Amino acid sequence: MNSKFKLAIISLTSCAGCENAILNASPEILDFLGKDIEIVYAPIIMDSPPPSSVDIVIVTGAVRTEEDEKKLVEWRDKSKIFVSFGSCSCFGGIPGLANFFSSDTLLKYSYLKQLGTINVNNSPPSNGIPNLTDYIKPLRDYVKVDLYVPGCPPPNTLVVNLFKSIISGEKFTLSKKSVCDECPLNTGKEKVISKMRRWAFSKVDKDKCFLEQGFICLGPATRGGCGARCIKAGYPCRGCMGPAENCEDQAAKMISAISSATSIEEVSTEDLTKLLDLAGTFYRFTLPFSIFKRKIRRG
Amino acid sequence: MCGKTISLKPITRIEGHAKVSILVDDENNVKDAHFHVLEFRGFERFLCGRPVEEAPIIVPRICGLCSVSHHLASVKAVDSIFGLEVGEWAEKLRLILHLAGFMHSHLLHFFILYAPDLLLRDVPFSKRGFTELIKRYPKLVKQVLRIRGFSQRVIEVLGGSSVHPTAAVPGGFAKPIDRDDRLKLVDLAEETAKIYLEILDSIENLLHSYLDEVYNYPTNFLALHSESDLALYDADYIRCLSKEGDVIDEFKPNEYLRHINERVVPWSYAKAPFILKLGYPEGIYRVGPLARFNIASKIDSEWADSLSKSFNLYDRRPLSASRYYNVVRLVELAYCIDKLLDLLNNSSIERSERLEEKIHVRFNEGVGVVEAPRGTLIHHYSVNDEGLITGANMVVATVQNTPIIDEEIKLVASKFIERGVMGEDLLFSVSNLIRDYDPCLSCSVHSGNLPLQVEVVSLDGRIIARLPEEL
Repeated sequence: MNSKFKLAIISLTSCAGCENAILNASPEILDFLGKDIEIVYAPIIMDSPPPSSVDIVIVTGAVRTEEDEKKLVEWRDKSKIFVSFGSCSCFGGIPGLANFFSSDTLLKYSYLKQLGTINVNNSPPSNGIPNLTDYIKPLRDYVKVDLYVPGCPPPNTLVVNLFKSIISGEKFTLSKKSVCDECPLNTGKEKVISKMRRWAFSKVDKDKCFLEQGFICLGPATRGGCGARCIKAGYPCRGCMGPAENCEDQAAKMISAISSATSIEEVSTEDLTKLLDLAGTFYRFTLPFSIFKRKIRRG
Repeated sequence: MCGKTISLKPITRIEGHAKVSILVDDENNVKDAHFHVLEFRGFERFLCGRPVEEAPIIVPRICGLCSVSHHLASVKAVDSIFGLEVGEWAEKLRLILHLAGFMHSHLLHFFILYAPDLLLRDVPFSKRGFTELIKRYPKLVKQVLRIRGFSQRVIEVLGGSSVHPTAAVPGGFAKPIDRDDRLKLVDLAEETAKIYLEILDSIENLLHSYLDEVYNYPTNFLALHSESDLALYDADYIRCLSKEGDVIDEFKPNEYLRHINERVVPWSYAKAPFILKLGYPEGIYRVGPLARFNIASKIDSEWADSLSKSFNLYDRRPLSASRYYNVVRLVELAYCIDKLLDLLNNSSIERSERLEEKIHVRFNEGVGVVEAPRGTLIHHYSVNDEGLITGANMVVATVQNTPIIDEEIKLVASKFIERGVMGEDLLFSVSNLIRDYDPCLSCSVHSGNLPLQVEVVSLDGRIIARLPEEL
């Protein structure tokens, strides 16, 4: 077959970790590049001007500025297959934690109130730069998304599978398992939690299920496919792969997982919420995508 | 008043979203130039309310290229809030992680993002990039990806994930390395040293001729300083040098607020840091490889040392031409490979240390500083007695370079515009200059990615030229 798939890689507000992850998969995908897939536009790695249409666009990052909004819609129109790549693009990601605050609060904090910051104009920067959107919304609120590739960043196997499926025409699928299903610390027995604890403040047994030790671990609520990489490195899951199959909302799932494994008597729910930052932890990567979405200002 | 602005956007092959505008008067005299950083995410605000022990996991997402640096600067700040001494073993593992982070970032910048400027000069502007590089230099690209694979593997094995690692935890390191993994990394490190030597040989002549074209651009410099070695991971002091290379200020990292401040500029989401003693704008300065090399008293690596000598770098200190950034990056790569070989070859890294079991908030503030690949990186958090973050300030590498980038763009652009040249040559020279600095714009505003466009604008706001015309 002679016809190559034309690919563009577009970044909205992001950290470039997703592009880095694509490059990390390059020994495996280098063979496809140039032969089956041609990258025609990717400003982070090349100078070529934007084409009028492409077969596939990989979109990384979240929509944080008005320019992001514009770019997103433009590239949807130009592309046959639209791929949301990485947790920011799929769910809002870590930048989605900003939805606990209004954009105005964020700007005032960094440019007016910050220690060691001198602001002679007494206003945030605004000349020749795009305005922020009020809140971060997931891409699906703006455009039709054809494929989701979650992960912060997406695991290597997922990147390779995406490229393979583009070439073969086979359907790209995500794991239907949860992180717990892939976790080496999962004994398969029903979990019993005697007391919720704060990570880093108490002794951790790295060979025992974190949740059973009372540490918040998002394994039950999170889609697998990452091989439980963080847990293997000694850190509990923070949910970057997004909600597990048939799980609408990570927090709802976590609350049910914890309450069915524990009888919280020793700690009041209020203490738990405050000390463990439940919203910021359960929605670490998915706040804009969740049923909660953002903080509504009181009063 | 009338005049015009030249706007360059997108600037390609950099990490982040940026635009350059160049303000000119009717006689084509360049009045001003601004490198606009166009993204903002607000990490400093939304860290507030989060438990401080979570910060080392959240902040790597500021930047997917130097996630290791953010992870480590952050965990250092958290160590000091909890008053934890980090043991020798954990420090070694953190250092290995850090050096591997440097390697991957420098390799990516020089050989993937920057290399087209050097190797594809005969190729039309619009074709310069990674795909053309693979076609023309398949062997080099494969070699680079191979040794970059080594550095990413180190981060993955030690840190848990090659991007956004998680293993550095308050007081220590969570993931031990076993003998099998260590020995595999030693093999890869040895292969890497061999391949990197071949790569250097293959580009040496080209580099020498490329360095013949430099012009000096003296500025102040700032970096971590130690008497005994290049200070990439840790040092007791931050040192500032003048344009002439004299020490003008020196301070402990946790005293940074008394020595550097940041000024908000209306044209960019990136602020303009300056050395307080000199004031603004005299006190603006450069950070990164160039600053580190100028400030280092000694480079404790034979390979890096001899490479520096072969390019006569010591004799030319303080190095001031921006192109030397790239050469020092190559020197630092040799340094990292040398050190990694040494560290990985030592079987003592296989044992592990127990983490402190009782942790509580000892201090309500903590500052953590490392040299990131692009320069000095400061994380500063305040917490309440429960350890929830109440304030966060980060001074990142690229943001410190942006005021100098503005000034140097002005200089470079004038040479073209005053002759009436506003086409691709101008765009190329300006973007090439920006790439010398390897700016990381996600970092600079703890924000977020866009290619560079340059606009020439008149003093009354008319756009006279825009390169390229569309994005």
